Amino acid sequence: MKLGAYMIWAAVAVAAGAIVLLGYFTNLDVIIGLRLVWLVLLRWAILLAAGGLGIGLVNLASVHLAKVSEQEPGWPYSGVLIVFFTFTLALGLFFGPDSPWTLFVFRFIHLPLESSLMALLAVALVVAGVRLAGRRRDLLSLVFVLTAILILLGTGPWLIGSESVTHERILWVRNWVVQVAAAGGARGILLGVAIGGIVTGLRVLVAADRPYGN
Amino acid sequence: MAAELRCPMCSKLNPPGAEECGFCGARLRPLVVGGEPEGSRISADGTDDGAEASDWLDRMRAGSGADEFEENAPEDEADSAGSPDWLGRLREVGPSEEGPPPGEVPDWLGTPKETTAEAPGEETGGAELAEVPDWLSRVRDRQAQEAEPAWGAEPEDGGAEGQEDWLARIRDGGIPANAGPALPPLTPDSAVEAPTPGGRPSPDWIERGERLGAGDSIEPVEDSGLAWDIQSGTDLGWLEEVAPAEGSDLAQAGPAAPPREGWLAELETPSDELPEGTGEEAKGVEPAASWLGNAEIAVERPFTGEDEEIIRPETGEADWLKELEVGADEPSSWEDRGQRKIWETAGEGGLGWLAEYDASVGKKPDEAGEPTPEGEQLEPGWLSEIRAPDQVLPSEPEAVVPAKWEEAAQPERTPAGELPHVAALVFGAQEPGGGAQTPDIDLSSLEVELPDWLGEHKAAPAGGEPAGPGGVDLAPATLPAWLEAMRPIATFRSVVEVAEEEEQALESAGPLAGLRGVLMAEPVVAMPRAPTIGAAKLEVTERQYAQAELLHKMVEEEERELPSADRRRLRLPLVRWAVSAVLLMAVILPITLGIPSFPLPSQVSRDLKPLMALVNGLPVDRPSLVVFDYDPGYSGEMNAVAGAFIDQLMGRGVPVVSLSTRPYGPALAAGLLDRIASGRGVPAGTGYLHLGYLSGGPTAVQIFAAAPQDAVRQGFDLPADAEGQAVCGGWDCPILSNVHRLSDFSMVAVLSSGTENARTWAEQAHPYLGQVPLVMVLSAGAEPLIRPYYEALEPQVNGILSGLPAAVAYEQANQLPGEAHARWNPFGAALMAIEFMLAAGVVYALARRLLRSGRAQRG
Repeated sequence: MKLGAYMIWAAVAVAAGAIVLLGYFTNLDVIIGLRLVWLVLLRWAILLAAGGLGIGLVNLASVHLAKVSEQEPGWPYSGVLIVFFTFTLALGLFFGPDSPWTLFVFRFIHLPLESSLMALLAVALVVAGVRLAGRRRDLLSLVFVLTAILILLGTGPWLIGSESVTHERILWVRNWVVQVAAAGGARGILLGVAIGGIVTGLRVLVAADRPYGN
Repeated sequence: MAAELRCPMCSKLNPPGAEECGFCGARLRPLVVGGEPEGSRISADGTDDGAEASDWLDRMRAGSGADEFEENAPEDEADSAGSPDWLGRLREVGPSEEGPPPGEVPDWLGTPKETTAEAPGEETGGAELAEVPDWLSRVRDRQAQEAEPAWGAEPEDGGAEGQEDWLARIRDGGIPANAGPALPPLTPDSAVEAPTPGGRPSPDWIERGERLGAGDSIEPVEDSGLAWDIQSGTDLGWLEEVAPAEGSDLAQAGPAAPPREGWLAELETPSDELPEGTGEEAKGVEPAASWLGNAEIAVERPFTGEDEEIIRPETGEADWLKELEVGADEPSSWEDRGQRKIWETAGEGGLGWLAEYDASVGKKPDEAGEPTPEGEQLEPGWLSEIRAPDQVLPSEPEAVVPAKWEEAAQPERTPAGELPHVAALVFGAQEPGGGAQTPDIDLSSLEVELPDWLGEHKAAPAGGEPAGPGGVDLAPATLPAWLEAMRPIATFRSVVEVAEEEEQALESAGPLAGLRGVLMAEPVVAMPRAPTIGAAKLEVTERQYAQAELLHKMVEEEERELPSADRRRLRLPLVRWAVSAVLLMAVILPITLGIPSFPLPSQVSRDLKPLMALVNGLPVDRPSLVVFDYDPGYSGEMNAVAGAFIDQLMGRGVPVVSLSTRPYGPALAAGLLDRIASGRGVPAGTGYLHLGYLSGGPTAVQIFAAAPQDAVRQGFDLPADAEGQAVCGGWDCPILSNVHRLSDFSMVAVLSSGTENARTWAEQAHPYLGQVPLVMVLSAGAEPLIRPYYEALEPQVNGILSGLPAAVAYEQANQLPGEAHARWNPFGAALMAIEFMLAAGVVYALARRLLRSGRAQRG
C-alpha cells in the first residue's frame, strides 16, 4: 500500500464508521464528547442525503429539458413533467408543503394517480395469472397459480360456507404458506441481506473498500 | 617381333601378315591413300615427317607394344570372346554393304608386322593405288555416276546413296571446305613447335585421317606439312569396308558418315542422346571400338613423361585409369593397351585439344559440360555436318573426339628419344567455320548399345546433375531419430531453393544497385517472415469443436438481421377487457348495490389479541408515535387497516403524533388523522400532531431515535387558531412536552406498505425504544418479511396488523366498524372474481392441452 493522501480519507471514513457503529453497542453518553461527534456525523449524512436529493432533482429537470429542447422521441411527456415539476416545486417553495394548495395537488392528483396505478397492477396481475397456465405449460406454473388461488381463498371472505370446515382448512393452509413457507424464504432473504451489509460495512471500516476513492 | 593382328572390326586375332580378317573380312591394314612415297612429304618446317613418324612408330612397335601383344595374347583371346554386342553388330553388315570380299584384305592391314615395325607411310605408297579392290572400284563407278548434291545438303534418306556421295567426293577431291571434318586447331605454333625429327613422312593412313578431319581447314593442315592429297584418287578402302550397311542404322547417317570411317561413325552416334556437357565422355568412348576406347583414355590429360610410364603394359592398369569409375578393369586386355599405344602416339602427335577434351571428361562435369566458345570452335566440321541442325553441339569434347586418330600424324614431329609432345591447343586459331554447317542427320539412328562400363560412365552425368565431389555416389543423408523428432513439421526444407537470377531481387540502392542476387546485409533471421511453427495443427476435441460450433451459431444468430415483423393483426385485448370488466363489476356492485354481501369474519386472528391488548394498555399521558411510511398507491388498503388502528387509539384518548420518512407521508397522515380526529372530535395539537417529514432514510431514523428533537425541528400542518396562526410550533406543543427521546413515546406504530421502511424502523429504532412497544401495521404483501421480527424469541416487533381481513376483524373485535368494514364486500367480491378467473384460466389451459394431446393421439 502506498502512502498518500488517500490514507487520510480512509482514516476519516474508518473513524466515522467506527464511531457510528459504536453507538449501537455502547452508551455514548458515557464517553464525553463522543456522542456529539456521532450526532454531527449523522447530521452531516442527512445533509448530504438532502443535497443528493436536490442534485437528483436538478439532474431530472436537466435531462427532460434537454429532451424537450432537442425534441427527442417522447419529448411531450418530458414537457409535461417539467411543467408539473416546476408547478409543484413552486407551490412547495412559495406556499409550503402543508399549504392547502399543495395538499390539494396531493390529494386530488397524486394520490388518485398512484392508486389507479395499483388498480391497473391488480388487473395486470390477474390477466397474467389467467394466461400463465396457458402460456407456460409446466408444473411450476400450475403450482404457482394454484397457490395463488389457495391464498386468495384463504384471505378473502366466502360467499357461503365461511364457517365451514373447508374454509377452516383452506385458512389453515393459507396461514401455513404465509407464516411458514413465505416467512422462511423471507428470513433467508433477510439473513442474506444482513450478512451482505455486515461484510460491506466491515470492508469499509477496514478500508478494504474505499468508495471515496484512492 | 611378329604378333597377331587384331581385327579392328571384330577384334578377333589374326595371324601376323594377314591383310584381311579371317573372321569378318575386314581389312587389317589400312589402305594408303595417295601412295605417296616415303619421305616425299615434307613438313611445314621442312623436316621429313616420314622419318619422324617412323621413329615414334618404331618406338611404339619395338617397345612394349609387340611384346605386350604377345604376352597378353591368350588373355585377350578370352576377352575377345566377350566382346560387346555393338562390336558384333558391326560385323553384321548387310548384303547391300559393299565391302571387300572375303579374303581380300587391304594392304595396310595385310602387313601388320610391317606396320608395326615400320612407319605406316612406308607401307602405303602409291603402289597401293593399283591395289584397289574390285568391289571398291564398283563403288566408285557407281558413285561417280550419281550426281550428288552439295556437301552439307540434307539427304532425303540416308543409306547407301549418301554413303556413295561422300565416297565420290572423296575420290573427286570435291570435299568442300566446310564439309570435311575440322582438323584440330593446329596452329602454326603447334605444328612448328613439334617438328618431326628426321622429317619422315607420317603414315598415309594417318595423314588421310588427318586430312579427313581437317575438313574445311585443309589449308592449315597443308601448311603444317601434313600433306595428304585427297584428290589423288586414293580410296579409303578400309574405310569403305566398314561403311555402314545399307539400310542399317549406320547407313542412315547419310552423307555425314563418309568423312569418317564406320567405326568413327559409331563413335558419334549417341551424341544426340547424351545431355549437354555430360555425354562427351560417352561419346568419346562409346562409339570407338574397343581398341580405341582405351586409346582415348590415354590422352585424357596432356601427355607427359609420367604418362609414358603409366601406360606401359608392365605397369598394368594405370592409376589414372583406376580413378575412372568406368572401365577400370576393362582396359586390361592387351588389345586395349596396344591401341592405347596408338593413341598415346596420337597424343604425342600434338593432340593437345584431344588431351584437353579427355581431361574434361575425367574432370569436373561442369567444366566438360559447359559449352564454351572455344569448345564450339573445336568442333570439327565433319562432325557438325552429321549433327542435326537443331542439335547444338553440346561441348567441345564431342567435336574433338573424332579427330583423335587424325592427329596421329603429329608424333612424326616428336623428336627421337624424347617424350611425345602434345601440341598446345590454341582454340582461337581454329577454323571459325569448322562447325558452321552440319548436315541434318538423325544421330539417334546411329546409336549403338554401349558397353556396361561405358554405360555407367555415361549414365552418371546424364541426369544433368553433378554426382558430387569426385563423382562418388553417396547415399542420401539421414537424420538421427532425435533430430528428426525436433524437426518442425512440414517446415523443413532439405533443399535450399535458389531462385533464378531473373527472379532474384534487384538491388535498388547502394554501390551494388542494379545487381541481382546480392546477399542481403541484414541477417535472414531479422527479416520478417511468416511463422512456420505457429502453423502447427490445433488439436481440437469433439467437445471443443461442438462448443465452438455452438458459439459460432450463437454469434450468427445475434448477427442475423431479424426480418421486419409483419404488422400484427389488430387484436382486441379481450382477456384484459374481460378481466377489467369483471373486477370493476366485482368492486362496483357491492358498493352500489350491496351485492354480494360477504359474511364478516367470525374468528379473531391470534395476532390481533396481543395487539389489541397492547393498544388497550397504552397510557394516555404519553403520545404514541405513528409513522406513515406507505405509498399513496397503497392508501386504499392502508387507510382501511391503519384507520381501524388509529381509531382505537383515538378512541382510547391516546395522543397521536405522526411522522413520515417519505415526502408524501405527512399529507397521508394529515388526511387520515384529520378524518379520524374529526370523527372522534379530537383537537389538533392536543389530540394529535404532525411532525412532518423526516428526511435522511435510515440515518434520519437513527437520529430521530437518538434525539427526536434534533431530527425534526418543525411540524407539519400545525394546528392554527381562528386567525390561522399556528398554535404551537411542533416540539413546543403540549402533546410533546414530555417527549425528549424515542422512549418517551408510549408506543411506536409503523404503517408501512413495504418491507424496507418497516425493517429500518425495526432495526434502527429498536435500540432506542427501550420498553416502548413497536407495532407494525402492514399491507398484506409486506407481512411475510416482517413476521420474522414479530415471531422471534426476542421480538423486535411487538404487534402486527396486516391486511384488510385483519383490519375488519380488528374493527369487529373492537366493535368499531370503520372503513375496513365498508370495503369488505368489494374486497371479497374482487377476490372471488380473481379466484374464478385464475381457476378458469387453469381449466382452460388444461382443457386445451388435453384436447391437443387427444388430437395428436387421434392424428
